[in-house]
Amino acid sequence: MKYYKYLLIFACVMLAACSGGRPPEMAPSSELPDIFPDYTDVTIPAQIAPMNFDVTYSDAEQVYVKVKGSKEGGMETSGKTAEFDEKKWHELTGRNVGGILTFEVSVKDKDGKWHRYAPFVMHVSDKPLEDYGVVYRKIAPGYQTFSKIGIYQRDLSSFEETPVLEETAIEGKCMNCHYANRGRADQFSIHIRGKNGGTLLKWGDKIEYLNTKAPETQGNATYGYWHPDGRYVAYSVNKIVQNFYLDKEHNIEPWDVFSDLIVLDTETDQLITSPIVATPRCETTPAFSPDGKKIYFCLADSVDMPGGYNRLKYSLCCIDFDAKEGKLGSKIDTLVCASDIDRSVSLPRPSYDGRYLMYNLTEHGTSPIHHADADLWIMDLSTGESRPLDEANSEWSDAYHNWSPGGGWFLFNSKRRDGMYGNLYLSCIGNDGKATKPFLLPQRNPRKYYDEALHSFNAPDFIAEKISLDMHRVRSMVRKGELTNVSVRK
Amino acid sequence: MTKEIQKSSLKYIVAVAFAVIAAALYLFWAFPYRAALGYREEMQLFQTTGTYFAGFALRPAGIAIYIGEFLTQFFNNYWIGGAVMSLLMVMFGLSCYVICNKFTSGHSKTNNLLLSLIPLTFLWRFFGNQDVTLGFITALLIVTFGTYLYVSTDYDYPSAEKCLRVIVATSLLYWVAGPITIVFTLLIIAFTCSSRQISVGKKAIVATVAILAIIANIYLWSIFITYPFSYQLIGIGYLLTPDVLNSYQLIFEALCVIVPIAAHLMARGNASTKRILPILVLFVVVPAVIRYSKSYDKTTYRLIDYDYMVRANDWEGILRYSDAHNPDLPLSVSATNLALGMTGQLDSRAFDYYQNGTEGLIPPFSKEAISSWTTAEIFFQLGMINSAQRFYYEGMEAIPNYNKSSRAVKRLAEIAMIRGEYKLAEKYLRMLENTIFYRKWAQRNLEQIKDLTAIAPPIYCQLRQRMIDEDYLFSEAELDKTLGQLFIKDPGNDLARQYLILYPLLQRDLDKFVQYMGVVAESLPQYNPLLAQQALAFISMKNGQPIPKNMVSPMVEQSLRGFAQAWTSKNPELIEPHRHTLFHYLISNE
Repeated sequence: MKYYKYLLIFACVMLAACSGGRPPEMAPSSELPDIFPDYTDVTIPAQIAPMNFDVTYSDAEQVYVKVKGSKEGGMETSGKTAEFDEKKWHELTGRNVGGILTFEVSVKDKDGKWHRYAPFVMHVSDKPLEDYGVVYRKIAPGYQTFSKIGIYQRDLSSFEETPVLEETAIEGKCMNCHYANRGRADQFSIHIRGKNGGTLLKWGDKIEYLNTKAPETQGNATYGYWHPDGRYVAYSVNKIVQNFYLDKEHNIEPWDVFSDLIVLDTETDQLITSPIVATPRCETTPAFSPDGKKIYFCLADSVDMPGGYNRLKYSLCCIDFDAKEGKLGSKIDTLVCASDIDRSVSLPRPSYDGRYLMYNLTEHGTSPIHHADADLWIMDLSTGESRPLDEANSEWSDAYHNWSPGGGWFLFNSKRRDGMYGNLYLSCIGNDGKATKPFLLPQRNPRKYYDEALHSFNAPDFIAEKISLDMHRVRSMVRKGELTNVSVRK
Repeated sequence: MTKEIQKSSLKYIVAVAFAVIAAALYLFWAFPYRAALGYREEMQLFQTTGTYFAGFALRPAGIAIYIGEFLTQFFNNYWIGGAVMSLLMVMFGLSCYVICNKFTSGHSKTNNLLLSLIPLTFLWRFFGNQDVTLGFITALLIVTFGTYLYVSTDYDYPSAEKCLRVIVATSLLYWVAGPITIVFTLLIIAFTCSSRQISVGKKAIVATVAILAIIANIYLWSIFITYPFSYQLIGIGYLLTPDVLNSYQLIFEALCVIVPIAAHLMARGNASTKRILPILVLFVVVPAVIRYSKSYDKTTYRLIDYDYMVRANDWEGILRYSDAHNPDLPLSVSATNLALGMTGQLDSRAFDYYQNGTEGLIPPFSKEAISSWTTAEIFFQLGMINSAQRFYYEGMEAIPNYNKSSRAVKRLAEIAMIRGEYKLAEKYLRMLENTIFYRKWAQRNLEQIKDLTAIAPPIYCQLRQRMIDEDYLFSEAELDKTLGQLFIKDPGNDLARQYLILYPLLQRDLDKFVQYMGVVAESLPQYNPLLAQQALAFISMKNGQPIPKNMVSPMVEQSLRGFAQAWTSKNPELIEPHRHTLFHYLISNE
């Protein structure tokens, strides 16, 4: 009998504890809660992981959040931070596609006093984000020396992050960006630098390790982009060096000693080159058009470097490509002329539906992640008109953008949080052609995660499915230096 | 009764012996080798967060390395650090002793104390390698404790139960302590085999299972972790350099196994076997102690000493050290020059020490932590804040085991505050807030950046003012021009001024020196340090002009004439007293 008594006391204590988690009924103030990440008024895909947030650093003893769907459903959460149950979250977002989620936030301060803020909303987009997730390179935003680097994939509907390839697996080698064909998990390339370095190409179950430097070319493949049919990969061949600023405003200025374009035929391991894109000028960061008939790229007249760094300005150009013959065109068209706008274009990325082309503009140079003034611009390919994507841009570098193969959604790397570490933001182009307010990649405990992270989300991209790469096999190939040499197609 | 007395007196002897050893080790680490403690501490940034722990939990030896890093943070204070080192080593010695006791159960234990000194001595020597981490000794202690626990409870179980114990213990130890679990495997095999109560068949089963258990653990972990197989065998985190197998590690691990077996054999042996022990200790331990200096690289330790003093901004200490040890390594030259500059003596005493050209002022970049940080400190003190940020960052990224650095993050936070990048500063300060030793400092600075109207520490304001305003690219080949810019921006930048006038002298470019003195004279017309007088006298004599007496002191003129006489005589004995002068440097090309 006495056990029942204890049970009853325990139940009462639990009940009291639970009821203490809810604020009393009170009118909200007119003030919006100061939350991190700033998820107020953002547009999210229904599939996104719970948009957990913090209210303040230390003053909040307890946070209570009530979410209501404009169509149906609701949920609530309570704790030190606003952390939502994954299953209930997806139920709620799924039932409110095209609708609005309203968040009522109440905070209990250290004196036990509750404060209810004005509600804020998130829009649940009717544009689905069908990709499995995103892939990115986690790298310290350093200079010439890098500690642990890895390419990781993140399930967008949960918080699961798994490594694709880690630097520890290949014994201290540096690895460069992952380039996938329209987010395909079974068709991508990764460069590995250092002793026995090369380009790792994966398609299907096949892995090939290529030496992309032919005697006729100046160097190894660097920035890449797959042809939509999966046979070709356009690369630029760059020799990148860095200079460092001494003034307060700037930090690093990377530039190319040389850069040319090549196209790799993955079926024959041959390089397609043309004197028109292998000139003393700088051709870099190619991207195939969605129909595969054009290659967009950036082109700059060479200037005396490093002294002339602020005169190095790239134009946005394109050249035809004949996939049937495997031939580059004979004429270069200029879409955005650097001398006309007195700015420099970088990283052209066409949307896969062929409607838009997103690129960066900076005052000069070729590396927007190192320029605080780097902004995203968008070109309507049907009219050729460009405009800054002010809805998504910040006062810090916004770059490394990529489109979702499903259309509409795009991601980019922004240093808006602290000016140094690039984080991943997502947004979508609405039916009015405007971008929605970007939101920071959700994390289970975002404040803690982003405060403690000492890496940038480098070169992010969407992936349709989870990538499976046998790291042991890759290690073996790299260790043995089993490189296949490429040749230049005559 | 006699046995009881013997037993208690042995206990007393053991306690006294280990207390003496503990005291000796404490003095050793807290005084002559405190810089080595500082080196280990700056090679990590231990944070008291769940995320930090999670980074270790899922790899073999991760827990031991985590505990090791936890303990290493106490090296921030060398008084506590010395105690931690001493305690860990004595604990290891004691664990060897008690394991030896278990191996000599039922026999005399008088030899065990002396025997346990052998692995302890070798461990002490192994720690002469600056890259051995406390993770290694923690793993070792876990394994020796595990072994002790196992042998203490190794009753006459049925075979299946014995095997299960072996499998569970091996798996647990391998996860927590890593490949050093091989010591456990071999010791329990030896212990089982030494037992007279266990049948040969059972011994064979236990031995086979023990070996298979460790092989299976190595194999299974190799599937889950991304590190190369060889790293796993060496022990990820035992050393800062995860890819280097140190032969001393192997010898030491072998000793951990051999010593208890030797104890067992000696205890069972006859009187003559027992007499071997003092001889063995005499020939192993005594030379190992006497020849301790052979266990480490003197050059590396010299650099570590300089690094320690640069970190502490102990300029006087650096000069005293350089007076005692001729600074002839790139890092020691640059640290000495920085110390001279910070104490306002560079423009008079630079050639009292060896000079290796302009690289002795500002060394070129090298992908290595401590030289990067020394150079970073030079940039920091000069007011080249961006370059300081770069070199601190590069140094941190060069730590071979992928750790971050408390020292670097602290300076990076300061640099961000100087640059006015408060969000970035906040990020670093939040990380430091998660530490034990930097928490208060971080919290103080977090308050500071919350209230930007509060008065910033004067050093930050001063360094911020020193920074160059307009777009300006760093060039290693044109550092003198940058020094000139720094001086023009802030004529009160004494360090930049001293570096600026020394730079052309180290290049033996006297025309440039005259030009730079002109730049300095515009702001400081009375500036006429000893080196400038020497250079001016030298130029005058070289050009066949009279030495300007209003600018050159009679003492300088006299020393130049003395040098000229010695040099023209070509007599090395006469030249030798002038070796550490600007005149000799300019003319000799040495």
